[in-house]
Amino acid sequence: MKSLKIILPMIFLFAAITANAQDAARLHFENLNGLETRAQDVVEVNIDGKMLDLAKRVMVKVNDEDAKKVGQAINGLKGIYVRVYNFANENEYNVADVDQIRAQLNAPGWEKLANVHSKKNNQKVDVYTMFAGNVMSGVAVVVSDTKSIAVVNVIGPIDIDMLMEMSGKMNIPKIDIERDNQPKPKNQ
Amino acid sequence: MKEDYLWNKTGSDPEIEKLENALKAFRYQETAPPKLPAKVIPFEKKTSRKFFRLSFAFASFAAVLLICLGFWFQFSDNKIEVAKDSSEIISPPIAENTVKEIPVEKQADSIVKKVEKPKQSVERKITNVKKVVPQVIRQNKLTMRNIEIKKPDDSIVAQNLEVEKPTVKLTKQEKYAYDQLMLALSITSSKLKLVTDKIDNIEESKVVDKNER
Repeated sequence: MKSLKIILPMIFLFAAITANAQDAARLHFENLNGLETRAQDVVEVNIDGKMLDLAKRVMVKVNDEDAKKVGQAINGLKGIYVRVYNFANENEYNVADVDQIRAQLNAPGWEKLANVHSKKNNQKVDVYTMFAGNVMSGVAVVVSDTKSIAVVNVIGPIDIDMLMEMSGKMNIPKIDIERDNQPKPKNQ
Repeated sequence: MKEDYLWNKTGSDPEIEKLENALKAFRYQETAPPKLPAKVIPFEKKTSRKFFRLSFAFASFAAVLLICLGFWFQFSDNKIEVAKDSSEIISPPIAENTVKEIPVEKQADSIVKKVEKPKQSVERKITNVKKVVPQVIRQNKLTMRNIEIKKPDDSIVAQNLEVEKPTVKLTKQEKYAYDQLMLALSITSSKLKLVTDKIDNIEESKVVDKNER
């Protein structure tokens, strides 16, 4: 009985901590909602809960090596939230809206993984990760330039290397919209 | 009134009175209520029984949970197995035929045999239809059938071979969920790739600068 009194609160505490870590990794996109009407192309994906479980089950159904790899990469995933807005003209959106999302990434728990700012098109690329102990609990990617905004929020552990390796396979199309078309400088 | 005596005890009814006298011994007599015993037995609090009750409740809850989980796992496994079976059924039957036909095509005689086979089946069908369909339409159908029966093209065989990979039958919800996940993953991977490309570009340009110096 005494052991139960100790174990049960510990279980609840652990569950509360993990749930809190997952909640903390969730970004709020509410301030981007108004951009739908102004943007030329809009991509909004919210996949979590039952929908994600369903997709994972499809991965199991598909008897394919690549599908298995992707399935492994997203095994512990809790949710993916994506917002992409492409505009016809430059500076059609308020930069403060994106900065507000970047400000959320300054909260404790988030660690900066990569941060690339280029003067060309005023492009800013930020990658942040969040860890709960040794386990990754979230990834956030914010890409913005004068004509587009892209925000990706992954909740739960995900194998990034595997995901990048699988890019272009398994109906994961390579979408390199923002990729620079400039030829790489050669060593002389 | 005799009845009045029976119900209200008014008047007199010798018959009932006689009966009353006969049953007098069994008449109800009001006595004092029984007294409670002077010694009050206190109710003993059994802690052990409570503990057992709680532990029993916990054990039963755990058992029910385990049974539910067992059922759930079994159900989900069965579902996947059914899906696998269905995928086997869904795999196009044309492909199987064509695979059988490929070695046959090498010999000219065998091609004739293979082509004749469907012709026979068509004729059988037509004989069945003859009973119902008017003659004019029947003739037209016959000519149409004769035109349709041709030697299978190599291109068709090749197309069928491409479809050899077994397809999985998905429900609308499953397909939607899968597509959404793939879209999300594709965007995520492309954005991450963009970052790595940017970093690679910066590193390469640094190396170029150093070499130039």
